[in-house]
Amino acid sequence: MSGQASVMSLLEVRDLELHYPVKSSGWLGAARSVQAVRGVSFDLAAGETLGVVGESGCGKSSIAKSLVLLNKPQHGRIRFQGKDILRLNRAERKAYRRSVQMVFQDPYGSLNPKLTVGASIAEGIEVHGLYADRSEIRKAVVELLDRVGLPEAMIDRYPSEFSGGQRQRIGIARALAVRPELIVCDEPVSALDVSVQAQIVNLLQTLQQDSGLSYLFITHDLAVVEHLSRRIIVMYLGRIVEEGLAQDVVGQPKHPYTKALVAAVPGGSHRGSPSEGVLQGDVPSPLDPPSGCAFHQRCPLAEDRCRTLDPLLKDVEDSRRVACHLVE
Amino acid sequence: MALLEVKNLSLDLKQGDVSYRLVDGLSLEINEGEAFCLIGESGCGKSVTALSLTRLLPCPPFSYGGGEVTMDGQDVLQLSDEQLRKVRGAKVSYVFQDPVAYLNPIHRVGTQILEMLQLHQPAKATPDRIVELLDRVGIPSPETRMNDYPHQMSGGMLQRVMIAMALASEPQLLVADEPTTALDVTIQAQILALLSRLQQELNMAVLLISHNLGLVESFADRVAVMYAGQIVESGKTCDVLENPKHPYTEALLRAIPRLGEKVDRLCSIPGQVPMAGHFPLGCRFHPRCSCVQAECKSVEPSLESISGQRSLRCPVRQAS
Repeated sequence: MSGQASVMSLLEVRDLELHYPVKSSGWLGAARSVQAVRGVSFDLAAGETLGVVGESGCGKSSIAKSLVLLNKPQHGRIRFQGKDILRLNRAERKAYRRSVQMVFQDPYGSLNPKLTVGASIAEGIEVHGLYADRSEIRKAVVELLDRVGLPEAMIDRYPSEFSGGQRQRIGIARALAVRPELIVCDEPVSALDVSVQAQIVNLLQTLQQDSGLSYLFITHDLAVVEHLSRRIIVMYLGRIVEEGLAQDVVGQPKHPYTKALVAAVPGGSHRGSPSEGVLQGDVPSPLDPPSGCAFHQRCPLAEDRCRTLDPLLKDVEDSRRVACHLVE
Repeated sequence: MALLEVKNLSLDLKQGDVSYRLVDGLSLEINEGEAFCLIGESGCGKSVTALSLTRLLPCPPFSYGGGEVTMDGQDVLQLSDEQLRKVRGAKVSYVFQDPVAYLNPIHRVGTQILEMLQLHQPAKATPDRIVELLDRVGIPSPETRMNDYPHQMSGGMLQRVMIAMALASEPQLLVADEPTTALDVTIQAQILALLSRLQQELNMAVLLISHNLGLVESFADRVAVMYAGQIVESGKTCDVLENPKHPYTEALLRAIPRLGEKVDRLCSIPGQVPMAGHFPLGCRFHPRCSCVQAECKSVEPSLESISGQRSLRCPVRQAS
């Protein structure tokens, strides 16, 4: 994927590096940094859903924040429709922010409690001046509520009157309001009950079919991501360890970490008693990533070279990339 | 005889002048050494049920609206405070969702386990026993890790420490309330496997409370599904999961995407989970049910035993 001249790509991320400085311990301590994202490259085509899976600390949310310009990568390039978004002027940045919207994980924390639902949804429309007069804005908001499955009567209510699932619908309506091309969804269903989760997943699919939206869908839930995405990237400690079509990555995982992730899904296709052999130990600290392959300490197959040599993300098959010395 | 027997338990919450019934006529039995799972979505009353097993809820605002909770032959709801102290911890221990919130940040984890030992097993309150407990829950080099403070450990490690603390009193029943929900997927699998191993090794009954039906499959012998303060279906895990009878259980199972089973659309359940105080009349699931009949809207169904260990609260499905 990475090698192709990607004329089709809506979004093109190359060698993204993101570090957060950490206050050192004591005034003589050396300044350290959390290496959240370490050289990540991927493409996203228009109308496609790309799933990003990984455990906490793997850098998936940091990537999401870079895409909506909430943090600034130290290194790398992000191109949206061919334009480098890290070098935009004021006007271009505003236009970009309209094209790329975000839906957050916590529907309780991401809505302003003092704004009515209508005002929350209308905020973006007003900022970007999509409609001039108030009645037109209101009409647009009602239409948005309808699209996400909320009745018009809700427009003057406050977020506290809504359940988690309804708030997530409001969050989605807010993102849709400015007619974006890409929506970055950061764990949008993780905080929801199972029965409501399915509603939101279906809603996201319907919206995509209706208006050709693209999604970058970030989650730790492999089953949800397999269901929604065409392609998946699996991240571990700031790096992509595997990338490919959803059914291939989940059906025939190649990287030992992906294999472990698939095996760890409760009630998955494998049945039987839970085994402790799934994966030993914890994710290492991104403050101090291990030498060589970041996964080698937990990897059941680790060899000597894994401890010293950092594996590159290589093309192994058509549209399949894996970063592992043992996968040819 | 069952280790724990809950009969017709009802629980109310008073807010201002209004009283809400959170749990309504709940009955369940857990045998010695059995792994039992209580499943339900948020607000269904599963966590308050767990806490009421040792009367851990403050009264008021909570109050017990009747029923019996018999733990090892004693009715917990009738015990004095003095007697209750001998049930809490000693017979029933808890592990909760968020270990960070339950561990004291300014004491070493070993000290916190020691406290449990001093309270419940004073003869065994030694460093050796702490090491043994930490080792049992799979903490590497327990001799040094026992001197760690909670902030020096990861979420998965802390949950192991919580489990070690719960085991310190050598309980007959371990109640694990969403013990893996806050953890990463691979760590979740580790903790679940650990609980399963301990249950078998120590012949300890475990009550696992979760919203995730996927967890149950490999863990529990029996399962009960709760909806809006009531058990709607219970039975052997394999029976319930493979052949769900209640429309809610069935819908819940279909709403979860499964690995490697590609479907075009998930089957979602319309509407919202009702809040306590706003439970619908008749069958509480009827506004969201796909096979609702006229009588479901007015007559509240009762939980009927249908075969063997299987119970069901749905006259429509029971008849068919």
